[in-house]
Amino acid sequence: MHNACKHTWRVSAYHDGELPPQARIDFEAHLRECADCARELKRLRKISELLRGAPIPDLPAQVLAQTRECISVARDYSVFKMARILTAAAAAILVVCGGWLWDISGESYMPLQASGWEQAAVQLRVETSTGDFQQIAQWIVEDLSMENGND
Amino acid sequence: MHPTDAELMRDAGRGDEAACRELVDRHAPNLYRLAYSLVNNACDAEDVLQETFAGAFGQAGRFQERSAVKTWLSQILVRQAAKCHRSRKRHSMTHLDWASESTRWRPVGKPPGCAQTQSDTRVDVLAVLQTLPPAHREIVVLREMQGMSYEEIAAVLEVPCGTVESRLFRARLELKERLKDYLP
Repeated sequence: MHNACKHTWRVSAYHDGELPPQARIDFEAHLRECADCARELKRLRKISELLRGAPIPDLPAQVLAQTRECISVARDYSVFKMARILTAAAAAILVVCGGWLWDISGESYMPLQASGWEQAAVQLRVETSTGDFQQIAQWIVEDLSMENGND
Repeated sequence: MHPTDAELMRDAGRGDEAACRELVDRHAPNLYRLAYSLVNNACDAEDVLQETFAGAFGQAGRFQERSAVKTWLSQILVRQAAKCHRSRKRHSMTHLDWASESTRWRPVGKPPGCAQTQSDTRVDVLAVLQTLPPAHREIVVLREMQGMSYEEIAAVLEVPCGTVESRLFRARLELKERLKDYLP
């Protein structure tokens, strides 16, 4: 099936009538001398003959009628397609938001880890609530005297 | 005077159902043959045809008249047929009751020399076409069965004319290999 002639690739375009006029004349001269290209042309003609003789049925009248009926459906086709896209997008958003809410609700059950200063403050408040009232009074006096000094 | 295809498509874009029907009447017979050649099956060809018109009229407003209506419709149909092939392939892979690809597409005709009828050979050709890669099948059908020029094929497939020539050459090489028993 392999051809030795380097011009064989042009047989296809020649066979299809797609060579420019001068190239066509030149190639016809070549064909008269080249057995490879002449045989290749015969094969292509046979392939075309087989393909063009393939039993392709005509459009059945019933299918034509159905296709005509489809037109009104077709007019809504783009709307229907858009509706499908929007539905898919809404479903995707729902899934993503659902996952996000699930994550958030999961986090709320986790014990909070307070920072060091917050823990100290809480401890101090506990100590003072049960501690020495005299000490507290002294802190207040010191505070007030400092404020007066600043003034 | 009859309106041109482009005028009808413009009217179809505005929702004119009579224009849509006229376009169906003008193009459906040829598009059906194109669909059948590409999918080799009446049922799929009907689906592909109807999907083509549904898609075309659904976006008729976007038709920009850069190409002929026939070219534009053929373009949509080729895409629909490729989609149909892909889904058929997926279907055949998921359903074990389908015959294997090699069995389904095996040529049923006999080589020359054996008693062979013309219809045997014709069946072979359509079956053999289905074994080609999609790009090669499309280009062979558009050239050989639709009789399109390289320029028209280039417009349908949205490739340069040089690509049409080289792709067609390679497609024919494959076809020759598959049909070697029937060639001189």
